[in-house]
Amino acid sequence: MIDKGKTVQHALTTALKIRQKAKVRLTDALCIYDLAEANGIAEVRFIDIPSLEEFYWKDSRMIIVSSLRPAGRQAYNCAHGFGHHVFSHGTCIAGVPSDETGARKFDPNEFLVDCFAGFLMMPSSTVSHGFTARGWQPRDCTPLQVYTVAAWLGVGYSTLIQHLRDVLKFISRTHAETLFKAKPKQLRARLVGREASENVVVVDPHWTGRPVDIEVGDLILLTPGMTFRGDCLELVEERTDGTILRGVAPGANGQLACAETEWGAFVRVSRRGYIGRNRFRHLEDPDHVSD
Amino acid sequence: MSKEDIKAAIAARLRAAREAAGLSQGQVARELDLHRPTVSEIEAGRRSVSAEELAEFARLYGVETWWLSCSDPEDKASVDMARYQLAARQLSKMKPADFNRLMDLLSTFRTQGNER
Repeated sequence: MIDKGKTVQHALTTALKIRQKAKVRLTDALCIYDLAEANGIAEVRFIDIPSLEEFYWKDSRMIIVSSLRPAGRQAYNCAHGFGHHVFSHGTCIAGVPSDETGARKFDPNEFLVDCFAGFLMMPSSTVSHGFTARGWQPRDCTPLQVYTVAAWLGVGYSTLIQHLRDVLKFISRTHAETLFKAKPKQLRARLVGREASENVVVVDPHWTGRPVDIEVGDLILLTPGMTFRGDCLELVEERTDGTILRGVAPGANGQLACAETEWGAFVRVSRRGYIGRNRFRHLEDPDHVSD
Repeated sequence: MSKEDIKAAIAARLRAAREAAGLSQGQVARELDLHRPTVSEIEAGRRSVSAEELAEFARLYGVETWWLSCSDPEDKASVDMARYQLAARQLSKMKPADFNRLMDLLSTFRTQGNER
């Protein structure tokens, strides 16, 4: 019988050590793909296999992530695979549970790396800072606030709610249920004023620690007072509550700035549903044809 | 296999490896300092590839040179071991067709010792 409390503590301390070693501040979000490749993983690859979540190949120190999942889940899956590497587990595969198998059986290694992935991407201080820096409180957060912070952390909306409720205990079960009722699709529509099938990322001057990574076609809602430049982005709409940008071509030359606060962030755009090596994800493409 | 068949097989593998690496022909041309039509001619099987070029493609795509050149070695121990381990323990987590596709891809990727 494993001691779950000890396992959680082990996952937390290991995740914090990795962040410290990688010089990621506790007030910063991180790019898990870059972090993994800078800390022992030889390569992260994206492939389009439907029933795969993530695969960690020990002998080659490689993580393969299914490109068919939403961006936040891909990142979490990579953190999960990175956990297998950090804890020296063997080659592991995470597939989508089929109807026949149902929920996954309890596996101590899987539990450990799940906890690790959560703490690596969403430590208590980072999550707390994500809300308070924007003048919000986790305990009474709204769906749009959770959506904004989740995008900054690079995780899914539901993943952050679960983490706030079950791990960090920042919100009650009742509050979590209310938050779960709001769907990302509805939130995206509220943000851009129309139905939006593409991803929408809210970027404000509290976006720190990692570049804004989007796919071609995704939208960025910039809060007022910010400027942008770069061939990979185009202006969609200027509004009183902000500016809407769209990713139009692969590249890493997008720049956002706020003259008033001297804040700045890079934007990296990848092909839609990118398949390939992580190192080429944001490479400019002379063959790219805009829709 | 005839010489033409081998050339066509290598061309098909070069294309598959490029796509799996996430690169367009234009990006490959830029990265390897080639003319773009050269890349498309090679992938169409209309131009031969030297051993040096094949090694360069393999490095860029992160695959084994032997796989690109269609000369699969007898000893693929690491891939076979991964295949065995996964098949034994975890096949139920993926659909068989997806699992086989994953294993086929793995057998092309460069192993750690050959990387870079």
